[in-house]
Amino acid sequence: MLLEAGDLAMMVKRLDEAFPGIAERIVDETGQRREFVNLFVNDELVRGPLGSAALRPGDAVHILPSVAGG
Amino acid sequence: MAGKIRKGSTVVLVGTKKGGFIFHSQTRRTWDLAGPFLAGIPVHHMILDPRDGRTVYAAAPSPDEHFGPALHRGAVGEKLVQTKGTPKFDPGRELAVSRVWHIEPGAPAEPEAVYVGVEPAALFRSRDRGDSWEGFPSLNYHTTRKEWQPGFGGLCAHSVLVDPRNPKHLVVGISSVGTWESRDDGATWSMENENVRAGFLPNPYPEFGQCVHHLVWDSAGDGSIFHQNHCGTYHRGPEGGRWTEVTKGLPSDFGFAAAADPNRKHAAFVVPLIGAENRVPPKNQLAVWHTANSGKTWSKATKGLPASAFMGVLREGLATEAGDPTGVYVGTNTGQLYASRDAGTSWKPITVNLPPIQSVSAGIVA
Repeated sequence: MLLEAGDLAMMVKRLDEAFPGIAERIVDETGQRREFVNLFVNDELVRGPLGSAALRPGDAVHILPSVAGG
Repeated sequence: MAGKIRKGSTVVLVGTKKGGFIFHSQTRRTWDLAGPFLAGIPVHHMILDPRDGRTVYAAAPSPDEHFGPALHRGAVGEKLVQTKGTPKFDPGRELAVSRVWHIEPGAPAEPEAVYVGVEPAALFRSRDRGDSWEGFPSLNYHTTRKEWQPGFGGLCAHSVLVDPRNPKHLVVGISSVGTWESRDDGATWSMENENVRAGFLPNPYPEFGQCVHHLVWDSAGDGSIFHQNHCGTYHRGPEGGRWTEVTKGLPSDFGFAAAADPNRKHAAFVVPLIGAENRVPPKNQLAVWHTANSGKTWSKATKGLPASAFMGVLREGLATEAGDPTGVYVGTNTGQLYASRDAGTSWKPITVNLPPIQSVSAGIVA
């Protein structure tokens, strides 16, 4: 889907406006990304705070759970 | 997925690392399975609400462990649906709930109330069956919190007692921190650790830091409590205050599970394990120990339980229900579930093929 956001934290907020409740599955109540949920910007894994990951027009974001568990 | 569960059935609700299972029976001789519920997802605790005998609550992440904690609710035997809200710390606290470990129904006088103990350690309450939540700031942000240290199982609030006589009387157990008590609906809390050992600390009787493993009300109904600790087994009388260590007569001072006999005051069951360094039954014989006198003496039951047993029984792995005689159920972290329908004297397996069992609870469907 298409969203307007300047960084990943804002993108999660916009996403939650479209799908209420999804944000708390991606980040906890401190805004930290959940340990086993990964966000990729143009195929690059984002490791730092979501608010520090700037987005530019046309960027593609993937949200994927880790291959983890057993 | 769901099996029809008739009124009057005894149900044993089992939370495992791969879903929740409900075993139900009219006779307690043979058992039928309903489930799995939340298949493939770790279910940390699952209960039948004794206030209506119909509602099931389950603590499990949603839709799997990657996406954070959640509570699920449904009629017994039917699909469990995630509640609208999840417990959360207040903004700015830099704390985030990672797991819900224990679900405790409120007192009969507050039929919509549900309490949860979570990791990192905190207590929350819902007044609408899990759809919205409030914390207890004076406990969750206690001035000593910065000194709370996680145990091997994490920093979790795992035991929650709500006094059926007085809903404003609450007791909470936190691993490696101790027992907390409030008599004013959670407005203020006192540490209740007097005479409880913390053998892993330089001062073995500190004000707090004790590793409480499980708390259950004594069925005397007078506020007495049984307490299984990392360092011993304890009982506290109705007056509160100092705990009495009642480890003497048990084969070790270590274990997790404890359950009171709902039909007999001052009676309880525990499952001692060798110790923190080796969490398997002493002499490799799974055994459930019983007291009928507040822990003054203990007796061992092994009939029907396995020898050459190298498994453990976790904190929520032991449960009772108020059938006549008392039903007792024990689940292992190797997926075996045993039942006793003679108040813990003899045992038979319900199943030995479950995923690792994290919780067992029992009740009677209304």
